[in-house]
Amino acid sequence: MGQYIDIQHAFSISGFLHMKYLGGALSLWRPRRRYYFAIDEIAEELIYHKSEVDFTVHRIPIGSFPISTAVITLDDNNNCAFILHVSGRSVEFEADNEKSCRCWLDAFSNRYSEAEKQKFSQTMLRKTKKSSSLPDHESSTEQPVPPRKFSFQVRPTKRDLFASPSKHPEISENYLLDEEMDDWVTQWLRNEKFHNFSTLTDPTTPTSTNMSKKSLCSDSADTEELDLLREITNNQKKRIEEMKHEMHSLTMHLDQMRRRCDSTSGTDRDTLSSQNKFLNSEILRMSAKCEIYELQTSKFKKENKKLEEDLHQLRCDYVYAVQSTIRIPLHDNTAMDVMSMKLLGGETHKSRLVQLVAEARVEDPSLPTLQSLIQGIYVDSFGFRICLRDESIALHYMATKLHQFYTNKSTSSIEHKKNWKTFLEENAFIELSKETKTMCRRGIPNSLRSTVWKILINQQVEDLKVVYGRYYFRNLCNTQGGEDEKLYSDVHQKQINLDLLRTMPNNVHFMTANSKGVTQLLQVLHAFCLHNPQIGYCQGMNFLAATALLFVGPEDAFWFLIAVTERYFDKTYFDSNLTGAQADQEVLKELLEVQHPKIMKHLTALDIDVASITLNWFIALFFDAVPFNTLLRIWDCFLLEGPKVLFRFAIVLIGKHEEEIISRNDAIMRVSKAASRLAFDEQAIVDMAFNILNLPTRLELKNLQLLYVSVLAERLEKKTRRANAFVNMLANTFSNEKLISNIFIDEFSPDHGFVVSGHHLMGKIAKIKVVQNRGTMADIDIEFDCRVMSICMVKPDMAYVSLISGYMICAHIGSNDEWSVLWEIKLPDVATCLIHRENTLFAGLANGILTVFENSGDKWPTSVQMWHLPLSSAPLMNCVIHDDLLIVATACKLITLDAASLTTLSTTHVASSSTGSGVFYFDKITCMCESSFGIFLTTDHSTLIQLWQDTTCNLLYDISFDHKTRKPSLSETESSVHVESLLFNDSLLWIGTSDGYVFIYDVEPTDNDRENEVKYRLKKFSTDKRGSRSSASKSCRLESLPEDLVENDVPVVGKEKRASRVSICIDRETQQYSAILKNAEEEQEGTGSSSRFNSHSSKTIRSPIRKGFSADSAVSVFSSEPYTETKIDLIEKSDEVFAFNKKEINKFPEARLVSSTDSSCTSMEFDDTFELYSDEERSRRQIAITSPKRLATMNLSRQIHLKRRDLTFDEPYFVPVPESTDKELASDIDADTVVPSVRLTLSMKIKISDSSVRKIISSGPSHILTCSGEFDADEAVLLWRKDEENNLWINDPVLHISSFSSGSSPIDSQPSTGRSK
Amino acid sequence: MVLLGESAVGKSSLVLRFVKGQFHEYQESTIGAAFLTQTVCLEEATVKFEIWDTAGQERYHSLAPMYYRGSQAAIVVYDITNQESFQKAKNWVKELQRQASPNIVIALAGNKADMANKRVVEYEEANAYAEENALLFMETSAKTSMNVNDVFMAIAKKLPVGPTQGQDSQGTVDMNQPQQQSKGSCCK
Repeated sequence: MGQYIDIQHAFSISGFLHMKYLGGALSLWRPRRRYYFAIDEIAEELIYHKSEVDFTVHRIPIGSFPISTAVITLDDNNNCAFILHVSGRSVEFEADNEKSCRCWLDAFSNRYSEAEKQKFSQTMLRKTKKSSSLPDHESSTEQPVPPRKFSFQVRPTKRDLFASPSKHPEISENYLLDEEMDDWVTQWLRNEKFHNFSTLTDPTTPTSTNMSKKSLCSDSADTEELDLLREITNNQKKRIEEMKHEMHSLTMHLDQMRRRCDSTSGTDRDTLSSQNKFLNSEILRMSAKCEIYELQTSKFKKENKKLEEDLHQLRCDYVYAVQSTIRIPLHDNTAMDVMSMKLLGGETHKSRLVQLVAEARVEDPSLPTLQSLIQGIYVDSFGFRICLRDESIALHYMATKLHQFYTNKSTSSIEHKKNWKTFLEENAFIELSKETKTMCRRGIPNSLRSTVWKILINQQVEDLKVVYGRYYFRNLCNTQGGEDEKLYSDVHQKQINLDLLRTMPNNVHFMTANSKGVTQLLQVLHAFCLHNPQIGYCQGMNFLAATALLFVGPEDAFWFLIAVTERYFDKTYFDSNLTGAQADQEVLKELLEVQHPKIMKHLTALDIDVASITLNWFIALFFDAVPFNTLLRIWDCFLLEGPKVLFRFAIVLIGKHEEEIISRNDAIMRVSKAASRLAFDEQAIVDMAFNILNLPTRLELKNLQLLYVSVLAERLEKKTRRANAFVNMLANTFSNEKLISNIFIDEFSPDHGFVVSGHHLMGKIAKIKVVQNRGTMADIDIEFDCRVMSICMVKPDMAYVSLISGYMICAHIGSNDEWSVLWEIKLPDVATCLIHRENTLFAGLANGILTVFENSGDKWPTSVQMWHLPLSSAPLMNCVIHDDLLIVATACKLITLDAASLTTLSTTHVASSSTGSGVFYFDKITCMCESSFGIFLTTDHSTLIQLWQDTTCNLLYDISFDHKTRKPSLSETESSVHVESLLFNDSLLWIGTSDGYVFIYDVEPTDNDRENEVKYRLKKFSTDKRGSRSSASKSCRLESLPEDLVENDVPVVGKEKRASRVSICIDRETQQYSAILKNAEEEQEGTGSSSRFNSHSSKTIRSPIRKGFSADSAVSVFSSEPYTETKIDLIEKSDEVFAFNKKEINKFPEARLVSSTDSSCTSMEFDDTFELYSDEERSRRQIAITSPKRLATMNLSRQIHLKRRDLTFDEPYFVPVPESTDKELASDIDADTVVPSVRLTLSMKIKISDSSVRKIISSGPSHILTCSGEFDADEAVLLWRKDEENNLWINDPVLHISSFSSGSSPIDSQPSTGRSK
Repeated sequence: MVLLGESAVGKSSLVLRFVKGQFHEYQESTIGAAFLTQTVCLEEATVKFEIWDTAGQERYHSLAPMYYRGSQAAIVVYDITNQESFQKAKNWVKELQRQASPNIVIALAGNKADMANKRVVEYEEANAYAEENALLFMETSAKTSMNVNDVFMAIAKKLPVGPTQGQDSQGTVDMNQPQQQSKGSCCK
């Protein structure tokens, strides 16, 4: 006999019963045996053991009966007995008492409640329509059949022989009317058995034959019966005759005796009478005594009853007291995180509770025992499997159960139940009245709950039922195909299927995929999704439906969901943002402010949103938030009164633990969660809930909620839109729609700026205004047919705008920001940057020419002097004016010019960075900014920040370390992050990256703290390796360009304004370029007449662009020095560029080569010294290209130190470099180190966008503007200001006021901050 | 801290395993968010996890900021047998980087590692993604409890040690404590 422990068993009821097999010939002699029985809810069996001990230790049961197919009937003679019919056998069970028997029957009938429900709806339907097409369940045998009917079934064997007499009309009538009669007849017949036989076999009886003959014609069966009866009657007659004789003789005998007695009576009469007297007095005395005793007994009885009542009350109060000892644990207790219980007094309470339960189990065996709870085999009346490993919690559960048991026995609750019953008998509907409210608030008795809920649900949706028809649910359940069905399978099916088994997994009705509850749940949810595809399935509905299914059938559960979504709440409640539910939280917050201002104040101070606790309560109607019995009480009220009760209960649940919440500063969430979990005291909670004063009326609440819904809906929709846009962006459907490309500040009024946005077909400008820390932007009514490259204000009312089409536009700005184009001019190439100084406008063109406009402030171009100054063959990407110096960035060079004389003062080749792939890029400077320390800059695709002062590199700082502070891994992957924008402002360096981060560094002069510093080494290639290219910069040129022309018109950069007046146009369609050469007179003539430079008088040279070379490289023909090399040189040189590292070339894809030439002809600039910056410790390298003539002045013996103590990660950051490459390079280079003059300390890092931070610019003394992403997106343009209190930079979105809704006031948006380390 | 991820990837199971050491094959689906706490002791400090376990259904997405706002750490969970959940996890990571507090520690957890035979999301793929985005990454299994504690510990180690508040909580990092310096969230 092994141990019988298996979690596949759970028992709803267990206790002793007498068992006896019925049927068969020996049924009367069978013994009655007492066993310990239990109903296994999972295996659906009734099992029995010899003793309780055997059961609790899980021995294998002696036997079992399958009860899924069993039929239960009652024994009419014995109220403590019932009969189980299963697989052709009948077993009689007898309980110890009537109550216990009823519990057993309840336990059985619980299993059939579904069938009953079916039947209920059946009868309901029948009332309305006779011709119901529903299947008939009348014949269902699962019903406990009426006893008489049953006894008819059970005893047929006994009557086999006497079938005919029992069917006599007279007798059977009696039989039906009077059961005793039936028994008597049966009994009697049994006694008469043999007589009958004898008479039956007597053929000579004349009457029988006569009679039978008479009735033969009518009915043969009747005739037989009649015959039989007649025989019986005859027999009786005979007997009566005999008895008459006997009686006669007896009467004679009696007479004789009487006579004899009379003769002897006279002598003893006196003595007898005295004796009689005495006896009479004795009787009187005794009766008086008896009376006294009786009085005493009744008095004692009364007292006894009172004591019994007291005892009951005490028991009730005792378990209630035990139940109330549950507390929120003081400290974290991982095992039971929300409740703890401590019963002082050692084992006293435990043994007392166990004893009480044992006593109560005599009457109600469905109560749990301590073992069953701890072992987790107990199933409560709702089907929940209770498993409480913690003994004190199990004891608490027992106390709760006992309390319910005692309360149900109390007279008041019996009265209450009776009231409900009579109410239900009298009313078909439950109207919302004072009476019904009180009744619901007192709770619906468990036994009546399904009936009442059904009525409540149905009356909510009565009108809908009329609209949709009676068979709506059935129709939906059986719908196949159709659009709604498709939507369902597309959208909701997956989630529902996921959740089916995750709904009440601890309930026996929802345990397995085959459970009845699960199938019904699926049916209900599926039907609901089809009913309301807009709402569809929302997590939480599964719990609503499942709870309803515990009490009502699937159809009513379905209507319940409809009632919740369409009657109690509205459709917004479960919409895609749960707007309605969220709005209710706002309403609740308002109510709580009134009811519990202290709590709200405390929570607000801690920045805790009440909604994070309470939202679940509203969405799932307190499911899983409060104990199940409390939940039922809440639902009782909710179903009748609607959502207002939810507010009431929410307020109570939060308010109940006010002290605990206020006294704590941490773990508030835990306390508030526990507060609801501990709500076992359902009656007290209900009472408290309905005693809250000063609540708004239902209508007021509704209106308030609607108000919040409208506000929330707007915001949430906006958020959803944004999220969708965000997702779309992620899905690589990245659109160039109005991508913001740049911001420019009006240097005459720094509070104003311009945001330019657009794409290659459209350009727009919006004006930013910063007023009192708030930024707004408004569209300017001007639109270009291509992207805007740059804007520069030359006068407060005059701006130059350069377009990617190569045009430069001069615009006049009116007082109301009205722009009018004054004139436009086509430049040789796109002006990538415009900068203004003292009435002179410098335009850096993409072909390396610096175009200078003098007198740019003049309104009309007649007076504008324009000069072309070729500086480089690569595009001029950026220019900065620093004092009197104009610093222009082109490719990887910084060219410093005297702003007044335009004399080239110095040319600095800056370091280039390597990316992780080991491929070296000689990339252009993408962004730079001037500072008091020098020029900060970065090159393309780089995360390396460089600081250059004159020709000295003072700092190399790789921000990728900071960018990846959380990086846990050692291996390097190719990262697309690079610096996109830079700003130095007030000793802070702002860096914007391509993935939307903004870094703010504190810049301070270094204090030469060299310990633990990361060293960068500047490595230098030996010059003889590059002998072929030692003849300074080279460029390709077009062979068709006449040499004399070049000589004449494209002079070498001189000290004077020896700029050529040349413009170059590229016809991208014909792949031809045209160089337009002019003299000064022509130029002025041109500007005067047509404002464009493509006048006919100029000489135009056209040449087809060779394959393999982009227009850009063709444009770069005008380099600073003229050369006569052919184009082939370029290709050769490109090879040479990479020849120093053959390994790289092999890896180099063709496309990369092209792109490298594309990208601003960097290769053509590759004529100078190679410098390799390498960090020895990290095997990381950079390449610097330095002009040879400037090398002398550059102090190479300095080291670059990176101080990054702010970094929190431990692992160093490695860049794997192939060893062979290392060696090769090592042989080529001389090493030197650089010392940084400044130190960067990361003070803030924040992600502001998903797209790159295009520009950071300072607006006024205390404001910074950043831009990223698309123009109309929220937070595309941010205004940053410094919060003086906590020294943080706070950003606010610059709000776009569109011209259409300019009247509306901007929504106050929440300021947000980054946080410094 | 906060747990994010698609529905039924095992967020609640991970937390339950970590907090109570239990595992249920069918964990009740989470509505809104569940809240649990757990305290772990590291060598140098005690870390108290206050964990918001959020609902996975898309409909509850709009509530997520309520929970990750002010969180110092997040675990984004996906199911290694479900490619879609990995995609969703990426979206969550993006959203966190964008909208959560800037110093948030993000861990990516590929749950259900016990079902490796049904794997569709390769370890390398997820790992590469995690490195790209500087996330902690582990494959976990709430069922076998593989890596469950490890991922929480790894997060605990990554957290900045908070200022000692009061006399009793030395070096305690309160995961849910709002940052005093900044009211409201970042980048709103």
